[in-house]
Amino acid sequence: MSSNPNPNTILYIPTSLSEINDLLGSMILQAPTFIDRLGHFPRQNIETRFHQLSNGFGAVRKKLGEERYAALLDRAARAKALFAADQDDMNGKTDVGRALLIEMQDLLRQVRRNRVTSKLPDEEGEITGD
Amino acid sequence: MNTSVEQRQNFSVWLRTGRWPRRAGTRELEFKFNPYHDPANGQFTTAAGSGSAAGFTSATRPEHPGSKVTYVSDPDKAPIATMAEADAWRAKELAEHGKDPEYVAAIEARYQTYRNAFSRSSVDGSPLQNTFISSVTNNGVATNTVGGVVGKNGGVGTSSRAEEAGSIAATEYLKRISSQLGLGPRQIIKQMGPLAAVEAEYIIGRGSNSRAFEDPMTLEQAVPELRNALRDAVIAVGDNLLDLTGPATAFKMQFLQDHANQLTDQIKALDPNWIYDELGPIDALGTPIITAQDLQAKVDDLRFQRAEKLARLNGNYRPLQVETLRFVQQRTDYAYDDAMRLLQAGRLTPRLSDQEAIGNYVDQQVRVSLRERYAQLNIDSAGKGPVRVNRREYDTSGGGRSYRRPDARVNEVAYDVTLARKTLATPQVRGFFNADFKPTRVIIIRPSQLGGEHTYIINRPEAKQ
Repeated sequence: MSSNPNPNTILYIPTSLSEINDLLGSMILQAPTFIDRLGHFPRQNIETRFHQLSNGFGAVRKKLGEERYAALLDRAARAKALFAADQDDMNGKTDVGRALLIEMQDLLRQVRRNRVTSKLPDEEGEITGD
Repeated sequence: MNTSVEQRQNFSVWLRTGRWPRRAGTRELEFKFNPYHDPANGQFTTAAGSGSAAGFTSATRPEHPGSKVTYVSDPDKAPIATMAEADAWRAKELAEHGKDPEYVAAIEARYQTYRNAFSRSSVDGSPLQNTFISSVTNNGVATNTVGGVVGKNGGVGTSSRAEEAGSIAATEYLKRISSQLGLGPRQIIKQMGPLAAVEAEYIIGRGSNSRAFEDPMTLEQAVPELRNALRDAVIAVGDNLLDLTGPATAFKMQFLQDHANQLTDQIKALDPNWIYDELGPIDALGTPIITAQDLQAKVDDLRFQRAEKLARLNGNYRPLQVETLRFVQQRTDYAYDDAMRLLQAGRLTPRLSDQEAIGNYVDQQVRVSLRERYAQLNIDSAGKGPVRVNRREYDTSGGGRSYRRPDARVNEVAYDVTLARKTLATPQVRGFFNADFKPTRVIIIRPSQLGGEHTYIINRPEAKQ
């Protein structure tokens, strides 16, 4: 693992179900603009956030199965459109988009529960639901 | 002349003491100045060995007639780095005070120390390095324990006791050698390589009380009470870790800009290939718009990057422990604000209690942010290394295998973000200490909006007999 000579350019992509769940929770708080007001992540916006989310779904596609994967991508696309249409958080679409993010968390929770029930291991060989 | 550097330094003194420093060089004033301090806790201490320290300052004339003039060091001024600078200093002082025999004697005595220092030579052409190494050895301190300062890799010893002993010995030694050679610690260490320079900066604390507080690079410097704390002690983390306080925004911005420049130099010295990718708002003419908050974010970012370099190049995770604490506290407060705003507006519909919902959202936001921060610096926080975010930490001590999941771990320090107060009586905290990686500290981070001693450090308890 080498040092990055040009830091602040790497975009984090979640690669486990629990990490994606954390990302969704973070997005619930940051909707609809996803701008980081603290300045730690100046490049973060609605585009980067949904790029991270959809790529995260891609990373766990096999665990999701094709049906859930499609369902999650559909909800992500709809949520993004709603947030984009309500950047000032004035017309109520942000709340609808937020509800979709919570639905995505619920879907992921089901997947994790099933994996525990089926004793499917994570990358470290543990039964965590990941 | 009141330069911007002088303004920054004066502001720094004002922050620390509440008094604006008087200008040097006024004969009717007597300065009481002690350049020696323990960088671990900021307390004044006495100089080891010679009474004069590195660098130079304006002379002081004591109150009582007949007493000698003595040149004492002023670490707020640049130390003499070359013989040419020493010559220039002597000429300037003689021009101003040459008619006073006491001053002339003091000037010549000081000048002689510079001549002695710059006339030394060694086999490899590094006049100070060999002197430093041989003196350390002669002082009975094993080279590897102060290897973090003089060794090739600049690494500090991995044993915490040796590290502490080495740090203390290195501190005292560097103070002595600074005094004898009439050079500032930074000047000395610069000759010994970039890693040693950065490491020594935190050991020495740059000779100024304020610096240890402004730029802590270990948890002990960030929280001085840790230094002598008992095992199983609980020590609050002050809010000064997060930001400078006080008015005078213009000074603060200059201070932050100077600090950013200094950090940039340090990082470039560690990694010549490093590029600072700065992105900020600009106005219609393309001129960067810089606010105090932007500058603070930049300084925080540079400190984090410096900490990453020290961890990666040096195996020294202590600066990263400090920056992780700082970052996590900031993100915790930020997430708590957002969550409370939404809850109070009725836009969050918790399924369980409000507290649990808030706690969950804060946890998630903080974990994502920390993973992102580490990822920017190519730190794998999901692997088996010493820097991890929300990973299982096993306890195999009881014959079986249980685990806990601290929100973060940086080497031997565990971090837990929570709304509730947790203590050693809390099973989760005891579980952290029982984990195989044997943390020396568990840091409980709570939103500062909760007030009081919201964030605190729990030291590892004594082992039961």
